[in-house]
Amino acid sequence: MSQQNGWVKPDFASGSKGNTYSIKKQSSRKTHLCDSSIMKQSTETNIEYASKPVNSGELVVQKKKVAEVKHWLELAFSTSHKAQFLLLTGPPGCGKYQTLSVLCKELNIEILAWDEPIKQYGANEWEYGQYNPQHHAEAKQADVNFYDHLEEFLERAGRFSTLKMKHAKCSGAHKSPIQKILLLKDFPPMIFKNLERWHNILLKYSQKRRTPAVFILTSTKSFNSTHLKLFPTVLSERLMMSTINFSGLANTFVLKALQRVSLKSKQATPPEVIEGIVESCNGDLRSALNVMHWITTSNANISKPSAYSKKRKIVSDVKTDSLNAMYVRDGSLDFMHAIGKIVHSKRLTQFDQERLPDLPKHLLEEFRLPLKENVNELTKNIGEVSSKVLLYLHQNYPLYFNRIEDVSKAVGYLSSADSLGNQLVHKEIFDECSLLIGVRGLLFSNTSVNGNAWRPLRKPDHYSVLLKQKEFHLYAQELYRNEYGTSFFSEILPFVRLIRPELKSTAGLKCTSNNHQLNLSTHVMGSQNSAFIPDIDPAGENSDVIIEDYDD
Amino acid sequence: MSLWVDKYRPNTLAKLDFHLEQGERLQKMVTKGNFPHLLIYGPPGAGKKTRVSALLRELYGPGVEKLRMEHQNFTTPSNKKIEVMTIASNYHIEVNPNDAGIYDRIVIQEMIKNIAQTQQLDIGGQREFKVVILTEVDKLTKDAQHALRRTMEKYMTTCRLILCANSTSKIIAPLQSRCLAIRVPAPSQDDIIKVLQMVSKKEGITLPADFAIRLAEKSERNLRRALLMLEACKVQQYPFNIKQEIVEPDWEVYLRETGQKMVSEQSPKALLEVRGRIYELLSHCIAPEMIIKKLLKEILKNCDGQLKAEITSMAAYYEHRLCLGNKVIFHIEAFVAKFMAIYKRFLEESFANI
Repeated sequence: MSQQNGWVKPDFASGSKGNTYSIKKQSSRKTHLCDSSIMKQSTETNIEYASKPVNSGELVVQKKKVAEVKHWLELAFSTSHKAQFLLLTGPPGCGKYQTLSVLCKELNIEILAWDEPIKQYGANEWEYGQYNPQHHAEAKQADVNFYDHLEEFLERAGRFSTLKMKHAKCSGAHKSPIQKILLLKDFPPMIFKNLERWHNILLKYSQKRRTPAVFILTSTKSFNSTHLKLFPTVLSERLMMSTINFSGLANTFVLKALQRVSLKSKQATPPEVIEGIVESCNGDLRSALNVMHWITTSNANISKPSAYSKKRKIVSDVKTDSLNAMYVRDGSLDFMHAIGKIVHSKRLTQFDQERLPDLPKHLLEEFRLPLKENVNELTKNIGEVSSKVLLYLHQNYPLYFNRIEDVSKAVGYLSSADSLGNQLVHKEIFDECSLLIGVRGLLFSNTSVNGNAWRPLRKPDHYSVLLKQKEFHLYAQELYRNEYGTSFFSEILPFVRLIRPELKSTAGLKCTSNNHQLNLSTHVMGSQNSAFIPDIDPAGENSDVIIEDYDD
Repeated sequence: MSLWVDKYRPNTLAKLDFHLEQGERLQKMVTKGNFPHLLIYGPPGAGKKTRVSALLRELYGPGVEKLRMEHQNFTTPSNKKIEVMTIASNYHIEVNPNDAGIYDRIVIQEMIKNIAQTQQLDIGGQREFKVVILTEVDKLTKDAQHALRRTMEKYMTTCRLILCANSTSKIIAPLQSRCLAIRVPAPSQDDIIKVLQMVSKKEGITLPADFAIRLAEKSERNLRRALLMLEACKVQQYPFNIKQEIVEPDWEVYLRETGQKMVSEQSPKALLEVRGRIYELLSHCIAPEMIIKKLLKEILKNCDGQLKAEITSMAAYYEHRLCLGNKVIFHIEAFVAKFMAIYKRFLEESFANI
């Protein structure tokens, strides 16, 4: 403790002992990469070495995103001080940190990262010695400490001169003035305990206008809630925080990166294997690299044909036996893919006879073969709001059914799902239930075998209908101001259109016209809506007959 | 040029055309001065609104007819902004709380509080209370109805409520018991014919008696509808021909065709077609309950006795679901599909018997 001459230990090897704050510099970047990646070996391996991008040209992130980050960095160190906070979000392994670090290197900016201390805060010798002598060791609660810790980090890191003094030794002699940014990368769960405190810390920090800070938030499924909790909109407005959203890497990007790495590492990986990895990695470059590393290490034993067969398996069937598929990742499915799986409702044709239940006679017609998919896994991995999934399912399911009886059952389940999902309390639970009911209902009720015929999946009309409703509502309000209940549209408006000739052509359901298309005049809606009624056949005779019948 | 419906709307209780005895009672209630909260209910087009506005005029004099439209803003606890349109005079305010959707409770509470907290300075000159008119109360959420209960009692001295609804079945009992419930029944056919004749006399057109009867029949005892039909018919063809086709709302015709389609073909493809049509109606702001109701009416024409019961119960079930759920198309479509399945089974059975 007495030897402690700075609050940062220059030696990273001993970092685990009483680790407080570590300053990441170019030289230590590798260590950091190892921290965040799942890489088993932390020593330099060929692949890892080769995978590190050296300049911004080598980054596999979208060029536009790179440019955005660069622009922000330049702005942050311009005199205007417009930019002080930046939030990078995106799925894991899409290169958020790499982009930042490479750019910083190019712009000669130092990254000052905050590491979550490993040890109990109370036992921290530095704190004990200087800061809060009365709050000793175990008496303190970890989370309270945590905030103190964070705050102090921010405060200290902001104080430029202090840092420089303490660091002169390890960061070397800088000819140019050092530019620094703060990096907060991992948000420990403790942070949610006292969000107010966290927000206050941020605000306090922003008022002092010091070193720009970058936050990196890995967005998972619950992206929205975490994001909003940590940085509510009001707060981010006050902080003038800019947000850059990374998306998962496109497969071609990952492919390119893997090919380059395999070239560099001089360990030839068969192209089929690379392709297989790319397919299964879901835009996560880090995991793709890990898998590739894993495969190449054991490459000596694997002959080419066997690797090939593995790859085929992946393409044809995502959920293969985990033993066989080395590089299959059971991450989230592509949204449309999942919808397709549900509406297709494939069943096994070969199965273990003994495992089938004995159904009593009256239930025999409810018998179904086992499903090919694990539904619980499927719904878990969809990763979208359940109401959106239900809408997509609803839009597309009838095409996959042959019998109206099945359809009526299926849509009955959808209706139950919707009314169940529309709850204000315990929303998450109900949402999950409603999704499961909808999905399982559809799977269960479909008894027709559809084969593999390709049918396009459509976007739900629901949204466009809602939009039109709103427009029409506004239009009607303008037209006829003093009555505006719901009965207005069904009771009064149709007649008003007939009575007032100047309105005759507008906003009507033109059902007497031959082709049954409802023409909304361009004056009201702006655009024709041919897309939104799926092929109504232009058989007009039917309706004319009906009208006559009725009038007699 | 205003519509005949508005033009010939009686503006005092004395000028009402039917339910005269009820009008007299209302009149007496106003003069006696002991004015309770009112719950006025009855089928559409029976004259609820007419009676309310006549009542207001009776209470406050012609000043109440100077209306102004206002947009009021409310903020929910979750910081969502809602805008609600109100129609107000110096003495009353009218609002349709349904515009606020599930936040109707906040709108009602805030608005009544705002109004009721200001006392009339000059009690001698006018009534000591203001009136709040809430329309379509039967569509209020339960939450809002319970909130209303408390609010009603609290501000009784400075404010009276007039609630309008189509039926009392969806209004909670405590609310009903706090109001004087007045039922405005639909006018009889004779009443409608009388009004139609009176209006055409004032307009200076001749209305053949037979045609008037046909109009009255077609209007389903809805006076507003009858008058609108009369005016629309007049625009289409005048002088009237007894055989003349009576115009109907286009969406009803459209829905009738839809019903025919459902009867003529039962398949997933037909269902998709029906869905497209329902979407079209929905985007024209036709209330989903109305769609189910009219659709049911249409398809029942083609059904056997015992089938009728089954299908009607289906309709009732999914109409209920409609209120619970969020996406109306799911439930309407479920009803359509159920009908198709039932009807198909019925057809197959009857063919098998032959």
